[in-house]
Amino acid sequence: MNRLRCAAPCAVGLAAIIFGPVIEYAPARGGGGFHGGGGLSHGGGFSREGPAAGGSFASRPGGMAGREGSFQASRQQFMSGAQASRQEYGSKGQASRQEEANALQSNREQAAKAMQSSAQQYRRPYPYAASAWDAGAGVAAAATGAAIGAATAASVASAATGAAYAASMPCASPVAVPVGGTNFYRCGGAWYTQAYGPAGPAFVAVPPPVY
Amino acid sequence: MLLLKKSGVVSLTAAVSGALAWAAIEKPPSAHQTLMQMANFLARTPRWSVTVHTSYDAVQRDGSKVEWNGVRTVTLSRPDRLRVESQRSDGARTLVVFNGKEITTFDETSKVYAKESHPGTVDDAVVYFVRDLGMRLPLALLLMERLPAELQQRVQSVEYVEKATAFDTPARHIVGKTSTVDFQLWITEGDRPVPLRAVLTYKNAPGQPQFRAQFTDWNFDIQPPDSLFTFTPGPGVKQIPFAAALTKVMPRQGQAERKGGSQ
Repeated sequence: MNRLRCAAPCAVGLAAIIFGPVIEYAPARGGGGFHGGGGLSHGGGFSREGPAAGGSFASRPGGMAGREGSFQASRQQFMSGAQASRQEYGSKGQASRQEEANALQSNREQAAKAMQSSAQQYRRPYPYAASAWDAGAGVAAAATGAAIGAATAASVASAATGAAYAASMPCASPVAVPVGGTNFYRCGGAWYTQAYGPAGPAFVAVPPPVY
Repeated sequence: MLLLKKSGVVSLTAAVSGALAWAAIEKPPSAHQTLMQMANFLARTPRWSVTVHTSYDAVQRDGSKVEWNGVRTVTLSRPDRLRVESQRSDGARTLVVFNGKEITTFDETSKVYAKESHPGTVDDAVVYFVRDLGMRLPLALLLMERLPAELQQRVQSVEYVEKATAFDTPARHIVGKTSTVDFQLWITEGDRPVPLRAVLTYKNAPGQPQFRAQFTDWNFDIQPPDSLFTFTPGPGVKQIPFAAALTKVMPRQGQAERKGGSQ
């Protein structure tokens, strides 16, 4: 018992060291097979993860530093295409679009006020404007990494968290230990429990259970 | 002479009428109006179901893209009932059910489910599920009664592209932008403006991956029984926590131990 308690920080730290480099969200392609089981792929498979997996109408801003140039070109293509098409509409179309833009702006302001007033019904302040509530929805690394980080914060440094996350049992012969209605699995010195993440059920590294 | 004058008036009238008719025909529908008509219709319709074939790009480490597919059946009954059945292209099936009190998600392959209590409306549940539990619910925005307000807030620009005839019913193709997503929607014409297709481009993400959805079998005359929104675990199915809620599970165990332990 005491030995278990003493081993807690080391065990989870070890788990991160062992699984950190091996289990990743977007492994390099190599084996040629498509393995998507559980949402996270393992050696040789293809990743199912990414911002598009969530199908959200928003995503986290950023992540494209240094790539604006190529998008500028495509934006210009879009704009010139749109310009040509707009010319067909003539001056009436121009006036109509201006009205539409004004209406959109006005409505946005009204909506912002309305949403501001209803914000308090949620547990946390309602996020809108720059980051919508579904921005980054279902990003496996973010949600589960946060959970692991929170779960292990008491016993290990945050550097040891984040990647210890596996779709299938991380070892061949785990020792199952039920504690308080939750099953924990010991793989060597590391402890896991199964939890439901954005990419499906997964085994998440946790501090050793106290039992 | 009189006949000539009359003839001139008739010609002028015909020309003006023709010009007005031409103008009416040529003026493109308002993209903003089309978008908001769809939003208001979906938000105000008390019950509907739809089948959605989805695909999305996952950008691999080497920059290549792999497309993953799935099909979902969505059943919504306002204010507080939701069921989303999903099947991935590899056959894996999942379920999300909200009954007004609890939101449950079930993975058939692993025979596990996670459940959290969250009384309220579908809007509340969707935000809680996606934002607080960090779960995926593609196109969740379309489920919400607040859809019109959300779109008003997010959409920075929207333009009409064309009248699309590639579907069973004529549709208006529009393109729009939010700060992080470019979107295209094909919305049916008529008194039930619903999306037939959606393409979302995550323009700020590496590789600019897309999420695509094709909507079929829209049904607004459904009377889903309450049992449809109830999840009853079958034999051998066990409950696990949501990953985002692990923090709630772990401290409780510590407390149990301090009070004498559970085992």
